[in-house]
This record gives sequence, structure tokens and C-alpha cells, in this order.
Amino acid sequence: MISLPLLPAVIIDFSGSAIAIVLSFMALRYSRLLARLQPNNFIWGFLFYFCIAMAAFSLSRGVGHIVRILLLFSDHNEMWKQLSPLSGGSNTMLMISAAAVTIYYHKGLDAYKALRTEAEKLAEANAKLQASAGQLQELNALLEQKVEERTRNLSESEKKFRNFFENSKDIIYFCDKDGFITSINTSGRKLLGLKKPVNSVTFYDLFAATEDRKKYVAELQSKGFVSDLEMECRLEDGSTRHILLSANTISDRHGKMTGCEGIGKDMTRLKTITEQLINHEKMASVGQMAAGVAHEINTPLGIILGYTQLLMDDFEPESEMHTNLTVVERQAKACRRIVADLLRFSRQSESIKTSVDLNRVIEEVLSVTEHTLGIHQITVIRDFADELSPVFGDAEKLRQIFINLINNAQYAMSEGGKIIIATREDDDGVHFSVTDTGTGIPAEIKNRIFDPFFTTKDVGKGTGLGLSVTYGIVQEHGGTVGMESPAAHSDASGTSGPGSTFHITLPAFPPGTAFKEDM
Amino acid sequence: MANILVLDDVLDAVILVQKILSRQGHQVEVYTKEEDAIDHVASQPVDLAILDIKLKKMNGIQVLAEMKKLRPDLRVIMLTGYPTIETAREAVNLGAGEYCVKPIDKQELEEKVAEILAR
Amino acid sequence: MASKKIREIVIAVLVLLVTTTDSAWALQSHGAPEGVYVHQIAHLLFAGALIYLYWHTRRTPTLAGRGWKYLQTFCIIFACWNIVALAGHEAFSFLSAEDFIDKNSWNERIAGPLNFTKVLYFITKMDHLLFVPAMLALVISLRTLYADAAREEQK
Repeated sequence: MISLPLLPAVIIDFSGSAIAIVLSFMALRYSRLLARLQPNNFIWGFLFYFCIAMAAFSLSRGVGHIVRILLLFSDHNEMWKQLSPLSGGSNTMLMISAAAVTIYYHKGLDAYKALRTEAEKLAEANAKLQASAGQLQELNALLEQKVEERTRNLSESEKKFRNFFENSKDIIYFCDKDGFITSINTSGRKLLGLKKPVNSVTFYDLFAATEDRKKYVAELQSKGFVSDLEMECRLEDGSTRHILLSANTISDRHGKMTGCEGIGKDMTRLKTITEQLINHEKMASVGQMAAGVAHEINTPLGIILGYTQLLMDDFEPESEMHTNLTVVERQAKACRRIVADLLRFSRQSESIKTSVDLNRVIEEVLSVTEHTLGIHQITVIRDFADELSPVFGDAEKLRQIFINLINNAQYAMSEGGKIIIATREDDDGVHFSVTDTGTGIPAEIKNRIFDPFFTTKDVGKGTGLGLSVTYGIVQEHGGTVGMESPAAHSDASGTSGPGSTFHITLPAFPPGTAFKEDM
Repeated sequence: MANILVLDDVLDAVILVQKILSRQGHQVEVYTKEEDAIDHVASQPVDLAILDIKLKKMNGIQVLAEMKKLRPDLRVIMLTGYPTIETAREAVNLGAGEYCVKPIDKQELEEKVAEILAR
Repeated sequence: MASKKIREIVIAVLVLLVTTTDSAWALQSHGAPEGVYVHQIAHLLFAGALIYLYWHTRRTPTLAGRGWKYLQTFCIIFACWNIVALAGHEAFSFLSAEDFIDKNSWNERIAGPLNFTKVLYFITKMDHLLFVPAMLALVISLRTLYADAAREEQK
């Protein structure tokens, strides 16, 4: 009869039970470690409980099988009969428990998953928020930095422009639309001599000429700017300055004029210099022309004079013809004198310059002229400095100056009077002056006395070149000449008129200094 | 009574001088061209030459030099409309005796001529 | 809800078991049919739960990795074991004492002639051939999961 030995099955049963128990507890251990490692993980929690159930089940079943085998094989059937239901029941219960845990897990996991998702979303949102917050902070810091930088730049820029505004030597001003000055730099205030508070001054009032003012306003309104407008500016003290004005309008966003800003350059000195230069040029060209003309005229003049004189020899001295010819001769001589003066005026001949003592020069001149002056009831008063530095000059020409001045003085005092000649010295140089007590020089011709050919004398009596020649000589010597009328020294005595004074300053020539060609 | 030569580029001027000096009794030859005047000096007796400085071709000073070469003892009066130190110095150096500023005064000329011939 | 039910079942089973005894077989028996039925149902239930666990873990994308694969292996094997145990109990219920020779001794044998039931009983008695590998799979699974988790925690 075939029979199946159950021994292998029993051995498997016995050992298998034991191994199963061991393994189940190992599983339990790992699951516990896991649950401890990540306590918040629901799944590890589930696995832990599952392993508990499995371990309990393995234990129960394993023990049951082992006990059964031991009891049955050792003839303890009755005992086994008592224990068997307990074992079986325990097994059943534990199986159900394990199944229940597993099923429970389903519900739990979903909830857990939902929770996890929400938590993750929250975490993500949080992270994003933090990132945003971080970014915001960064941006903020950057912004602050930029603002600081800009402010710094602006203040530097502002400082730069303010400094420029204040330091500029030109007039820089701002006006509102009614023309009241809202802001003006220091130079402007000084140049224009503004003492009143600035806001009360209308810029327009500074214009001396109404056409200039009209032009300024018109151009501003039509073109929006004014470029290089030359205008005369009347200052508070009454004097005028020649200003070169450039300005433009300030408009608001809509293009309406809210004011204007401008720069003014004081051209007064430039104008003066230019005028002087023009004058000088005029004189030079006149001089050159004069020289040319003079030369040309000299020849025919000479012939006229010559023939006239020849003719005069052919007639009796008392005859009418002779008398007439005398007139012709006289006039021809007059021409000659004019031409000679003209040539002298235009001459750029080299002067012999040496060290000259002015006092001596004056005395030389007076020695010749004093006598004649005396005849004309003119007394000469000398006011010489005792010690006078020599000047580097042409004695002849300097003599010419004095001759000219004395002649003029004499002419001004037809009834007689006084001539006061004074010399002195200071740091600016050697000064001398010739004062008369004559009629004086009226204001309207004061500007013109040094012009060539300008004379108040009658025709034939003067060439009008004396003072211009004097002026030329003084320039040649590097000096200055000026005039005052009424005279600087006034005399108490009755017969005197307002008189005039001519001042001349020449640079002193200290001995030992090297000669300078253009001195 | 001397032999006088006058040189000036303006004809009227030389005729005038001729007239003035002939009335004094001198023999006056007049030229407007430098070469002719120099030739005359070379070939004819001349006691006095009156030369204008400003001439057409040459400078009066150059003419003076030429003439002086030909006749070193020649007396000369220079006429000028524009006296400068240089020309005066140069003229004197070359042996000009006198110097007259144009426009010429008849009396002044007569006196100067008489004076220079007397030397 | 489920726990309450379990508790009821457990109490019922215990009461039943304690109060009803029957003649003891050589093999472990479950006495009155109710206990047997409950036991068999429990096996089914357990198998079902394991299949569910297997299916759910496969389906869930977050539960990926070798650890979970091993767990799935455990589920399958252990579900099979439950069916085998179920079959074993069923087979035994059809056997009687005559089918055994020298019962409850080391020479225990199943008497011939062999039929399907006897062979089935013989095979199913070696159920631990499934039980142990299943447990092994479970252990490896948990060890792997723990190792992975530990590594992650360290990061």
C-alpha cells in the first residue's frame, strides 16, 4: 500500500514555524525603526501596526503548531484538545486584525495623501512666498542703493551747477513771466549794482533803451530765445554798462512761458577798448593817408611858392601886384606849415631816445616861450618836484608836447592869465601837468580834443593836429594823457576862468635799467 | 657865377630853380633824367649840383655817390620832402654840403647856394 | 466602524471557541463548524486584504522603489499562503482517522489508496514553504525601506 510519509511535512512545519516567528520579529524591528525615523509618515505607521499584527499572528500560529507537534508526539492529546481552540481562535482573530489594519490603511492613506498634498502645496506656496519676500528685499535694497546713488549724483550735480552759477563772472539770472528777477548770481548782482532785494527789480527796467527792451521781449515771445543781444544797461547809480545778452524762455508742460533765464556778459570794457582801437586805427590810417597826401602836395606847393616868390621880384614892393603876390606867398607858406605838421603827425620816424630829465626839458621850452607868454600877459608858475627820475624818451618830441600844451594854454587865455606847470613822481611814474586859467573846455567837445584835425581855432590859425600829435608822442613813450576842465587847481584870483589841466604820466626810467625797444 | 646842375624828376620844379638861380647870375643846367645828369657831370665842369632825393629810377643818394665818384670835389645840395636822420647822415657821409627841405623857399635856397659856393 | 466589527467578531469567536468543544482530532481542528467557517472566512479576508494592499501599492505612484516591490512580493506570496491554508483546512475536514497510519508519531503516514484530497492535504501541510519566503520578503522589504528612508534623512 502506498502511503505518504508526513515526516518531511512535520519537519517543515516545525522549523518553518520557528523561522517564521524570527522573521516576523525582524520585520517588526525594521518597521519600528522606520516609524521612529520618520514619525510623521503615515505609511510607516501603518507598516508598523501591520508588522505587529503579523508578528503576533506568526507567534500565535508558530507557537500553536510547535506546541501541537510537541504535545501530540509526546502523547499529550488531551492537553492539546484543550489548547487547540485557543490557538485556532487566536490565529483567526489575528488574521482578521491584520486584514482590518490593511483595509484601514486604505482610508487612512487617502486622507494622508490629501493632507500631504495640501501640506506640500502650502509648503510650496510658503517657499514661493519666501522667495518672493527674498526677491522683494533684494529689490528694495537695490532700490535704496539706486536712490542713494541718484540723490548723491543729483546733489553733486546740483552742487556743480550751483557752484558754476555762483562763481561765473558773467551775469546769470532767472526771471518770472512778468520780468521780475527770481534769482541772480553774485556777479550779476555786483555788475548790475543791485542793492534792493532782487524780487522787486524788473529785468526790463534795466534796459536803458526802449527799442532794446522791445526787441528782447519780442524775440523771447516769438522765437523763445534771444541770442547775443547788445543792450545798454542802466544801473541804479545811473551809469550804463554795455551788456551782451542771451536768454531763453522757460515753459511749463503745456508750452506756456513761465519765465526766462539768461546770461549777460559785460562788454563795457571791451567796447571801450574796441572804440579806442578803432580810434587808433583811424588815426593810423589817417596818418598814412596824410603822409601820402602831404608828400604829393609838397612838390606842386613848392613850385607854387617858388614861382610866386620869383614873380614878386618882378614887381615894385609897394605895387598892388607885389602886395597881392605877398598874400599868395603867405597862403602858400601856410599850406607848407600845414603839410609839415601833417607829416610830423604821421611820421613814424625813429626817435632818438635817451634818458631825459623832464624838469630840464620844460625849462628849455620855457626859456624860448616865456618871453612871448609874458607879452601876452601870461605868467608861468613852476611847481617842480625837486628830485625827478629821468624818463626814457626823445627830448625833441617831449619838447614838442610842452610847446603844444603851452600854445593851447596861451590860446585859451586871450586876456592873459596863469600857466601852472607841475611835476611830481610816484609809484605809477613821472607826472607832469599844465594848467591854465583860461576859458576851459566845454563838456561836449571833451571827447574830441585829441582827434586829428579837430580845432576850435579859426581857419588858418591852427591845424587841429597839436593835441593828436601830443597824444601820439605820449603813446610812443608808453605813457598816458588826460584832461580835466574845469582845472584841477583853481586859483582864487578874479580874472581866472574855469581853465583846463592836462595831465601826462610817463614811466620813470631808473638808471641802470636795460633799454627796451618798444618802451 | 657858377655852373650849377639841377636834377629833379618834376620839370616845373627844375625850371623854377633854374629861374631863381639864373637871376642870381649862375649858369644853370637842368635835368629830369638821372643818367643825363650824371653824363653832364662826367663831361662838363660843374661847381654845384642840386639833387632831389626822390627820383624816378635811382635814389638821389645813389646819384650823389655816382657824381662824387666822377667829381669828388663837387658841392651838392640835397632836396628832400621828407628829411630823416638816415638820409641826412648818409648824404653828409657822402659829401653833401647842404640839405634843403621841400617845398623850397626862394630866399632860403639863394642863401644856401651863396653860402655853399663861398666855401 | 471596522474596528468595532472586528471586536465583535473576535468576541464572538472567543466565546464560541471557549464554549464549544468537540472531539479533538490529531490535527488542529476548529471544533464546531462555526469556528471553522470563521477561520476560513478569516483566511479569505486576509488574502483579500493582501491582494488589496498589493494592488494599491502598485497603483500608487508615490510608493515606488525596491522596498515596495518586495512588499508587493510578500503580499502575493502571503495571499497564496492564505489560499493554501484554506485549502489545507478544507482537505483535512474530508479526512478521517482511517486515513492515517501511526498518527501522531514521527512515523505518521497517510494511508493509501491516495486520492486527490489526501495528496492535497499532504502538500498543504507544507504551507510553511510559502509562509517563510513571504516573511522573508517582508523583512527585506522593510529593511530596504528603512535604508532608503535613513539615507534620505541624512541628506
